[in-house]
Formats: sequence, C-alpha cells, structure tokens
Amino acid sequence: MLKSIPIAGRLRFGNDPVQTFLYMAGGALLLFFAFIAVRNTLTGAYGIDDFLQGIVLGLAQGSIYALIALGYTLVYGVLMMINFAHSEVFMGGAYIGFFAINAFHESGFLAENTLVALLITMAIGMLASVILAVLLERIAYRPLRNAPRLVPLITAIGASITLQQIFLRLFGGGTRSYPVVSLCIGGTLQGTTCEGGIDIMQGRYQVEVFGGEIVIRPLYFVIFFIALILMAALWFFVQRTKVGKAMRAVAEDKNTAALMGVNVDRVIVLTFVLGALMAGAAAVLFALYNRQVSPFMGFTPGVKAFTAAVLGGIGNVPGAMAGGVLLGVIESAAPQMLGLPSQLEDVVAFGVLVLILIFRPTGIFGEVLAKKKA
Amino acid sequence: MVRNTTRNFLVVMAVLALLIVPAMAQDEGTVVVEAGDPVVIGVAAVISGEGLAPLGEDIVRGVELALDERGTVTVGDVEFEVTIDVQDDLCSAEGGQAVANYYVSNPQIVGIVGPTCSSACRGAGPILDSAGYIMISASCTNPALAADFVSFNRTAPNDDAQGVEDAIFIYDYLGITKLATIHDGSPYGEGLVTNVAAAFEELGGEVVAQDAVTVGDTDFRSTLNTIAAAGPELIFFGGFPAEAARLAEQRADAGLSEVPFMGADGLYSPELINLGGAAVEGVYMSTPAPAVSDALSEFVAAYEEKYGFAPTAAFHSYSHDAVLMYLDAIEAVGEIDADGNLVIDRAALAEYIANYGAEEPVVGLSGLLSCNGDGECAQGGIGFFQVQDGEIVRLETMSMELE
Amino acid sequence: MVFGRSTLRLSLYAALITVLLALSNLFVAFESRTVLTVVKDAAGEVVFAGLSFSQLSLYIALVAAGFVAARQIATRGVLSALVNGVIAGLIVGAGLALLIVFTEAVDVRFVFRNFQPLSRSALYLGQADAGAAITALLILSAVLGGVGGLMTQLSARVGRVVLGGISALAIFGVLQSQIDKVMTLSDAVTLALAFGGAYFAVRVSNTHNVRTRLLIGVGVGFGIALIMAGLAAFTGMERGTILRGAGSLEPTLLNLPLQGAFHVGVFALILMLVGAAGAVARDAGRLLHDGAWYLIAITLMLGVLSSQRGFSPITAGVVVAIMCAVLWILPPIAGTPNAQGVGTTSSATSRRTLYLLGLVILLALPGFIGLSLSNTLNLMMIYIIMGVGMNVMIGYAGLLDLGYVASFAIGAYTTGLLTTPSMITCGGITPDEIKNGGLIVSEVCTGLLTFWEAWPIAILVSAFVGMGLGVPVLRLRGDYLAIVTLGFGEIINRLVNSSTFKPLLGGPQGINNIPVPTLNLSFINPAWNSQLASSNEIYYLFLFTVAVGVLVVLRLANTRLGRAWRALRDDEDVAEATGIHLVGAKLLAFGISSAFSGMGGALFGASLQGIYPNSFTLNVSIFVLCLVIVGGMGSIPAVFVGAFVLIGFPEVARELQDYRLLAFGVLLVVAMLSKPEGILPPRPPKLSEHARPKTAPAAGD
Repeated sequence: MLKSIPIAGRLRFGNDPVQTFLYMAGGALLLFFAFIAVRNTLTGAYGIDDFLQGIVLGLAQGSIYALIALGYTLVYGVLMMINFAHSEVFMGGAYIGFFAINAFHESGFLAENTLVALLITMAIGMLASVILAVLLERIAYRPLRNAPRLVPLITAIGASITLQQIFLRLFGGGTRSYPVVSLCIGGTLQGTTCEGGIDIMQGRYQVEVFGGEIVIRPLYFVIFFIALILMAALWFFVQRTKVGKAMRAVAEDKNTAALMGVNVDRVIVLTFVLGALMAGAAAVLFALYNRQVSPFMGFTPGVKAFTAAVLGGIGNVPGAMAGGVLLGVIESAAPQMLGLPSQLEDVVAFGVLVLILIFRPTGIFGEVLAKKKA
Repeated sequence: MVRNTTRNFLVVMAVLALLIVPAMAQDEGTVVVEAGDPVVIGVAAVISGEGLAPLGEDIVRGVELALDERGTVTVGDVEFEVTIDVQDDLCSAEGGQAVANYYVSNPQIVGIVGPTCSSACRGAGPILDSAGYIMISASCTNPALAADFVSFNRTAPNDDAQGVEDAIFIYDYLGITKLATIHDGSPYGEGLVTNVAAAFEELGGEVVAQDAVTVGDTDFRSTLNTIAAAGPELIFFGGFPAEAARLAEQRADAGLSEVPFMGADGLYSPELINLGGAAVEGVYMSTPAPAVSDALSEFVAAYEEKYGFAPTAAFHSYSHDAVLMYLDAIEAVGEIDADGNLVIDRAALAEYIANYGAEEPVVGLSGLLSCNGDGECAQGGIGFFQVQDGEIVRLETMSMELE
Repeated sequence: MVFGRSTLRLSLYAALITVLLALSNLFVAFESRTVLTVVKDAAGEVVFAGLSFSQLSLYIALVAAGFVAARQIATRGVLSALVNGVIAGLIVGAGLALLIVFTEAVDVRFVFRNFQPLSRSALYLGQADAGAAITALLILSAVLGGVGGLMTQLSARVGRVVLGGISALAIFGVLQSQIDKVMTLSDAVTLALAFGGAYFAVRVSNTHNVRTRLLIGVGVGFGIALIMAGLAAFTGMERGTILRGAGSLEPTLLNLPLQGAFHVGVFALILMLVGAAGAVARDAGRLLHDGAWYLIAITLMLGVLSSQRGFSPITAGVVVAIMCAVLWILPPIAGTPNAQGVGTTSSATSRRTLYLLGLVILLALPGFIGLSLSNTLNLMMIYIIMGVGMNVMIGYAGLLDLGYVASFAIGAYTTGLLTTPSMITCGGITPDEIKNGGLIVSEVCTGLLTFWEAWPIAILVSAFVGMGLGVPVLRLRGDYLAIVTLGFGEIINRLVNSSTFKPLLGGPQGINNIPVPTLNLSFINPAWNSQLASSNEIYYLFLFTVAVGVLVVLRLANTRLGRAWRALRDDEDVAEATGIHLVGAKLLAFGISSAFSGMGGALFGASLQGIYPNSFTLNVSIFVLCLVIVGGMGSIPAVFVGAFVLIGFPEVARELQDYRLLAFGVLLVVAMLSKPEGILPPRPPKLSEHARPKTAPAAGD
C-alpha cells in the first residue's frame, strides 16, 4: 500500500459469465445515465452553468471528504481495520475548535488578528483530534492487535458511540455555530464587506458563464488548496522520510518490520496521529464552511469519507483525494444532471460506487495490498 | 423404553403446566397514589439521537419549569407532590411502542406528556388505547393521529390547520406566486410542506420545486442549487432550526440570497437566531397565537435563568401547557379515599382532558387551549413572525381576532 | 509499604473520568432516582436517608478508583493496598472538590450545557455549604478509596462474592421499578423449595438411576405443592400468582366446575416439573446446573423485591445475601472439573428435563413479566432472528454485510404494502386518491392479504432481492463488500423516505394501520381467538419464529451448503479449487440471510402496526453485526447472548435515561476488550474420524 499508483485494470471478457454479465449490465446502466444527462442538457433542463456550479460546490465538500478519507485509508493500510470512530475524531476537532474560536470571537481577537486566530483554531482542532485518536488507539485498539479482524471493528463502533455520547452529555445535544469570519485579502474590511480586496471566507462572487450565472466563493478554492497541500505533505512524509518508510514497512508486514528494528506500536500511533491531523484540519475547515457543529456531525461525513476512500482504492493516498473530490462532485452535480431530486443524492452516490466497483473491484486507483490480507 | 416413558411423562406435565400462564394483572382503571407518595406523570421525549435531542430536551425543560411553577396538586385539602418519569422515545415508532409499554406497565403513571415525534405517537397509540392511558403530545402534528387513537391529545396545532394558513399568508400577504418547498425528511416536515403546497396551488399559486434534505447532512448547497434553477420567489421549509439556519445561510451560495425563506412553528425559537445569525434575518415563520405574552417572556426568562441558555426548540410552551392540563385534570377528577390516598379514575381523567377548555378556552403559554373532544387542544389561530434585527417580531396580519 | 508506580497516573485518570461525569450532570440528574428507599421509624423520624443512584455512582467510582490503583501492588501486603487506595480516593475526591470550588466561582453552563449547580448533587453529601461539603467529600473519598484498596486483598472467591453482591445491589436497585411485580414471594419460595428440596433429597438418597431420581424429584414437588396448597387453604397465607392461577386462560380450557381443584392440580404439576428438574440438575452439565441455580436465586430475589414496597435496605440486604450465597456455594458443590462433581456426568434425560423446564418458563414468561419486559423480549427476538441470519453471512460464509437493514426494510414494507390499502393491493390507486376521491376501500382494494398470507411473500421477496443485490458484489472481497452493502442499506433508506416513491411507499409518513396478525384457536379454547396485538401476545409469534429460524440454521450448518460456506470463509481460492460453486454458495448466503432479515422485518411491521422510514437506518445493521460478534461469531447460542447484552440491557436500563447509549457504547468496548472471541464463542466444529485436532493456531495476523 501507499506505494505507487498501480495500473491494475485487467478486463477479461468471456471466461467468467458472472463478470461478463456484470460488465454488460453496468455498461448498459452507464449508457442509460449518459443518455438522460445528454437529454436533460439538450432540452435545456440542465445547463453548463448548473454543471459548473455543481463542480465548484462539490470541490469544497469533496476536499473535506478527502481529508477525512486519508485517516481511514492510513489506518486501513496499516492495521487492516475500518476505524469507525474516525468520524468522531473529526467531530471532536470541530467541536473543540468551536470553543477556541468562540473565545477568540468574544474577546475580539478574531476580529483583530483573523488569520492568526484561524490558524490557532485549526491547530487546536487538530490537537483535539490527535488526542482523541491516540486515546482511541491506546484504549480500544491496541489490546486487540492480534484479535480477529472484526473485533476491532466492533470496538471502533463502540468507541464511536461512546465518544458521541460523551460529547452529547458534556456539551449538550444542540447545535453550535462558528462565528461568521471575514478574512479580507488585499483590501480593508468595512463592516461585512471587503473594500478593494477579496474576502476569502465570506466573499461571494457572481460569475457569468455560458449564458448563466454562478456563485463562486474563494473559500471553495481555499479549502481545496489547503486540502491539496496537506495531502501533498502527507504523501511526501510517507514516501520520502525514514519514518514514512517504517510506516510502509509495517503496512507490508508487521512482524518483519519489527524484526528490522521498527517500533511497530510507535508507527501505529503515528498513523493514527497523521490521520487525526488531517481529520482535525478537515473538521475546522468544515465548520468554518458550514458553520454548525454538533455531537452527531461526524456520522455522515464519516460514512461519505469512507466511501470515498473505497472509491479511490483504500490504502492509497492519492486515491483518497481523487475519491473524495469525485464523490463530492457526484453528490452535488449528478442528481440535477439526471433530473432527480437532490434528496436522492446519496442514492446516486452509492450507485456510482457500486458501478465503479463492478469495473474496478479494488477502487479507481486499486489497492496495493497483498491478497492474503484482504 | 425408560427414556420414552420418562420423556412422555415430562412433556405431558409441561403442557399441562403451561395452563398456569397468568395474565397481566388487570388494570383497575384507576391510579391510586398513597398518601405521602408523589403523583407521577410520564414524559416521553427524544433525548438522544441525531439532531433531535434539542427538541426533546426542550420538551422536558418545559415540563420541569411548569413543575417549578406549580409542583403539587391539591385534592380536597391534601397536597401531593408531582414528579415526572422521563423516557426516551427515540423519535421512532419502536421507541414510542417501548415507552408506551413501559408506562402502561407502571400503574402509578397518571398520563403521558409526549411523545415527541408523530411516528413515536403512532407507535404508542395502540398500546395506550388498549390500556386506557392518555397522552398529551407537545409536538406530534400529523393530522390523522387524533382520529386514529382515542388516547391521543395534543397542545400543538396539527399540520392541516397550519398549512392552510401558511399558504394564505404566502399568497395573499406576501404576494408570492412561485413557491419552492423543502422538508427535512421527517413526518412533520413532509406533512407540513405537502399541506402548504396543496393549499398554495388551490389558491392559484405555482409550486415550482419540491425537494428535501437529509438531517445529518450539512451541505445543502446542491439542493438549493437545484431549486434555484426553478426560479422560486419564496422557499418554504418544513423542519427545525438547525437545518433551517443552514439552508437560510447557504441560500446565498446558490444565488438565492434575495429569495425569502419561511418556516412554521418548528422554527419559532431563539435557537434559529443563535445558529443563523445575520443569515436568518428576514426569515418568516408561523406559530399558534397568542404565542407572544408577558407570561411567555417570563417563562423564557426563567428558562434561561435555570439552564443558562435560550430555549433550544419551540416546544417548551406546549409541554408546559400539557403538564398543567394534567394537574388541572387531577385536581378536578381526583378523589381522596378513606386512607387518605389519592384515587384518579383514568376514564374520568381522559374525559376531562378531552373536553378541557371546551366551554371557555384556557389561555396557555402556547396559545388558547380548548379541546374539541377529539384530542385537538390548540384552538388558537396562527400568528406570523419575522426575524428583524435579531429578534422574532410579530407581523400585523390576519388571525389577530383571537387577542 | 510500597507506593505503586502508577497509582498517581491511574488515580488521575479516575479523577478525570469522575469530574467529567460530574460535569455531565450525572450526580444531579439521578439524585431523585432512588436505589434504596428512605426508612422512617414509627415516629416518622428518618432512620435511613435512602440512597440515590447518583450517590451510588459516586461511591462506586471512589471504591473503583481505590481498587484499580491498589491492584497493581496487591501482592505487597495489606498496608500498601490500603495506603494506595486511600491516596487514589483522595485524589478523586480532590478533583471533585476542585470542581465544586471552580463551578461555584465560574458559570460553566455555556460549555457544559447539561451542567447544573452541584449544590443539588450527591457530591454535597447533604451538606449545605461548599466548605462542609468538601470536607465531608474528602473524608468519604479516603474511606471509600481505602475500602477499594482493601478489596484487592480479598481472595479470588471472596472477591467474586463481594463483586457479585455489589452488582446485584446496583442492578436490582436500578431496575426495581420494572421488575418489582414479576414474582410474588410465596411463588418464589415455593419454587425454590421444590427445586432445592429435590436437589438435596437426591443427594441424600445417593441413587444413580435417572428414573429413580426423577421420581424422587416429582415426589418432592408434589409434596411441596400439597403443603403449600394446604397452607394457603387453611392458614390464609397469601397465595402466589401461580397458585391463584389468575390467568386469561382460566379454567375455560376444560370448563371444569372444580376451579379450586383444577388450580391445585396445575400448581402441583408445575412444582413436580420443577422438582424433577432439581433432582436431575447435577447430571445436566455444569452450565445447566449453575444456570438453574442462578435462576432459582433470581426468582427468590424477585420474590423478596415484590414483597416489599420499594427497595428498602432490608430487601437489599436479603437480595445481596442470596446473590452472595449462591456465588459462595456453587463452586464447592460443583467441585473442580476433575474431582467428582457436577459436570462430570451428563445424561441426556437430565438435560432434556431442564430444557423442558426452560421451555415452560419461556412460554409462561410474558404472563409474569408484564408488557414492558415482554416488549423488550420481542425487540430482542427481532434482533435474534436477524442475528441468526447475519450469522449465516458472517459466521458461516465470512461475508461482511453492513447493509442488512435493506432486507429488513424490504420485508417490513412488503408486508405493509400487501396488508394495507396501497397501490399494490388496490390496483394502482394510491391511498391519497382513495381518501380524496371518496372511494371505498373494500371495493377498490381487492388484493388485501392477511398477515399470514403476506408473511411468506415478504420472506421470498426479501430473499430474492437479497440475492439480486448479491450479484454485483460477487467479486468484491472483505471491506469492499462491507462498504457496498452499507451503500445498499443507505439507498433503501433514502428510497423509502423519498417523495419520489411516496405514492407507493408513503414517504416519511410511512405505512399506517397495518393489521395485527390474528390467531383463531377457538376450536381448542373459546378464549383463544385473539388478535396478537399486545406485546405479551405477539411474543408467541416471535418465539415461534425464532425457534423455526434457529432450527433451520442449525440444520443448514451441517449440510453440503454449510460446509461450502465454511470453506469459502476460510479461503475462497482453495474453496473454488475444491469444486465449490462460489457464485451459487455466495448468492445462497445472501438469499438466506436476507430471508431471515425480511422475516424479522415483517414481524416488526406487524407488531408496530405501522412502519416509518426512520426505523430503517444504518444503526440496525450495526446493532445486528455487533450482537453477532459480541456474542461470538459463528455460534447460534451466542446470538442470544449478544441480543440479551446489546438489545435487552439498554432497553431494560431505561432507568439510566440519557446515559443509556453511553453505557451501551462503553459496554461494547469493554465486552470486546475482555472477550475478544465473543462472550460465548462457538465450540470447535465436530471433527470427523479422519480429522485430527489441530494444534493451537499461531498468534498474529
């Protein structure tokens, strides 16, 4: 895992009737969807502007999915387990971040030094996530290192419920709102409008494209680029540093890695820490973007992010990024394109997942796992 | 041989032994509260679960505050303390079924405030009906409930009543002809927008888009983007503050910032403003009148004093009224027996509640209470409100005659 | 005297947890929830101030802190244990004291929304002002911490007894309002006398013939029955429920005029069966033997509880004493496995007798436990049915399915659609059209079925849809399968909730007024013409379904298909190489497990008399998976244990109110950490004569 992008697709027709059937059925379905999409476009029910709007919206949402997905992918790569409680690691980051940013807001620090306050909030969110993840690993997973594979899955579910309920009992079941933050770049902030510059947090710009109008927020691209930078840093860390090499070794074979002098426990903790850093960052971005946090906020993004990780090929860092963005875009653009109510966006998203796994049973980028492990 | 005869003997014995299966201790149809014991009222509310706990907690707090106000019932000249037994209805039919069974297994429970959600009310209905218990829900607004279950009463208005008034308000008062509706996938939200849409079309308006969001999703921009394509003049939302605040805020990202946003009694709560801030400025909502009174302001102040934050939903006044209905009913139909125990006849209690305020409406915190014998107790008209400068302000419209 | 290296660390953890619990309002919220009732003497003076659940949790937390801290140095003597325990208690107490001081000064309610002023909490120990409270709290902490420390010095046997006693106190205290009417004291004593009398009579007689033993048992039972009936008739002793026979099935069965004699006869029969069971308990294997004794103990405890109003200290003492006695006595009676003792012999007749008694108890249960607990049992049984099916998927075939709720929903919706006016039963006319168009249901909806007709159809539909969903995922392995099936579950959930399919499926409003199953047995007994509406009636339908389901799955396990599944689970490639038809085996696993889930779904809808989309969420799939694995993957009894622990406990633990799910989550983690292979793991498969026992499998992955 985490090694390279494999070119693993091998289409075999003929020798396996089930597979042939699946390919044909999947292909027919894809063609049908394509037909509907083209028809909706031609009849004018769906325009290029709608499509572009869908893409930019999906980009922001998808980048957040991608960051969370990294946590799933890393842990899966090393421990071969679905860390169900990762969604609560995400939630914890956002929730604790709320107390930080709210304090900054009340004290006026946020208004004065917006960028610094935001960075500190993000650091606190990441720290909270890391603490939660390390505790999780220590209490719920480490004692089960050699247990059957499904056992840590259940403790993960239990830990997820526990964390959710702890937050619920301590901080209440209600929703909390991050303050509205304006960050004016290249101009001065007058009230809520940014004179002469770009408000990268709150700014909204009407852009005319292909005869339609779409609304673009610089924040979408900020989220996307932060996600990209974090992911690149992670990829560099895993591929180019010595510790990263140790991680890959542990992922490959724990026992051999231990024989080679790798401290397996430390590497596993590090894996959780890295995943949590990404989740914490994603959490604060998510909360700045959507503003509301609650003890239950982790569940849906968690499921989506895990789906994204599988879509891209679980255990694969670039795959998580691609899967996340793809899922985000599909969710926001596809229902409208197909003329469905957006209530069914999850149906479309999971439908696409099934279709993709029919053609690529190990995700788009494939996994680089030794088969014995799966 | 030995084995067979032994076995046969044992099986015959077992079958005969089964005849002893005793039935439930039959409920006598009365509650007997021994002298010195408290009167217990069940409170079924959703106190766990995604996005819903604030609603249920609000209901429980409403009851707690009502009991802070008036914590005893006096029958004859004997005073009895009143306590509550709070149970989680999970906002689901099976949760409602479970709490109903729980309550009917305890003969000390006089009646139930709740459940919170219409599906839970449905789950509880058959059980309470057959046990002769009653419920007064603060929030089950599905219209058919009152007809389907004898045990069912509510202090909240049903969706039919509110939907029609909302449509008239949108069409006549705001002069909107193109409406888009969104609901949150809950029976409440869906039922409400279905009624609003139907009434709106009957008035001659056009419903240009109908969609729904999923509670738990945070990013509703794609939904709004789909809606924006239809060019609505107003978005009507059936749901609760958290989702409403998000929708109202994310409108701007779909180019709908100029399109007004409206909801119903589910939004009537300071929580909406806490969460939405500037984004919910101008949001309309409807709720039973007279929902603005000095008593209510005092009540909300007491709420903030006791819990340290503003009400988290709009149900506290309904549950407050519901529990006071029970207290009135107990005082009216309760009797003291020779041993000084309080005896409450369930049938008489149900009868009293069913006709509560029938002759002269009682002014409650949530509006006028006057039960029609069929479980509908909220008889006040609908009032309309708008968020202006961070305050929920009443609009001078119709339905004013009730004040 | 040794100061433990990690005492400080462990105590700080304990302090942190306790402070968090305090911040979550635990010590206020349960102040009004009594575990032990207040006792007043004749003059009305309070003799015993009562014990609230908040207080109990505080005491348990302090004792536990002392225990945990002292355990690591338990071998270093009593003094060390005491000192470390006291220190740990003091640290926790100090943490709480700091919290009191802090919250007096600062309003923390913005952050900790559930927090309420501690002056109303158990932490104040009845003191009026903070200073006195803190002093009292610190003293109490030191004492209880020390007690906890000393508990590490108890022998294993004594330790278990003490722990059992405390658990009994806590469990009975918390559950009292639900279980205080289950069993009358005279019933309990009678049953215990019959069982115990027979048990010891057989020991004294020292006979080895099973038939003789059974006869002795039956005789003892009959004797006790006569004595008790006589006592009831001539001394005015309170009659238990069993003797009174206050049942819905009162003598109508035979319409005997001799009501009194009839009751006594039936009463005698039940006691004869119990006596027989007692007489052979020693030969029935350790598990059944101990199980029967625990059951008798619980019966007695329930009897004691029902005889008193509230859970007074006296009742509590008796309950704890019974529990402790059983825990103390059972191991020596049983003896070590190698010595001559229980479990060394196990005769089929003995086991069957106890199973038979178990069956009678199961059948009689709903009449005793009341609606609420029956409802809990029903819920458990729905999950057992699903768990049995899930076991086929995951335990037998090794396929991880997270979308189990899909077939559950399909079963429920199929039943709902076929038994109520819907587009299917009314020839394409929607319920709204019927309502608005003033159509008459009986004229339009000609396709209406009863539950009994719809049920098999629902099962078949679920099975076929399950197989259909299995097709696209045939090639997927392990966790890819998990996420796709999860997707299926979510897709079904969204579809049933969507407005698009509202005319057919009802959208968020679901399907209402599903008729309850009716069971007309009036040809046997005029009283048995019943709608299975209430939870203690529909219980029998659930019980029947579970029994059939379990039988089917047990049979399946040893068929060719069952072996194919196991081969598939162990290694797909090898299985394929040995000629197993992978596609067929996998699809059948999908189909059969879905059929079970659909069967449960149909029952679920019928028992609720309505279905709503919010019942069909991912949580259902997750709960089923959890109960299968917590119970012990691959074994059927484990499903029962899992359902009892994960579904039964949280339902019964309603008294924990909003802490219910928290307790559930913690329970899940703790159960898996302490028993990674499940509470009741499957026995190793029966080996054929060719196979040799394997050596212990290598550890590691």
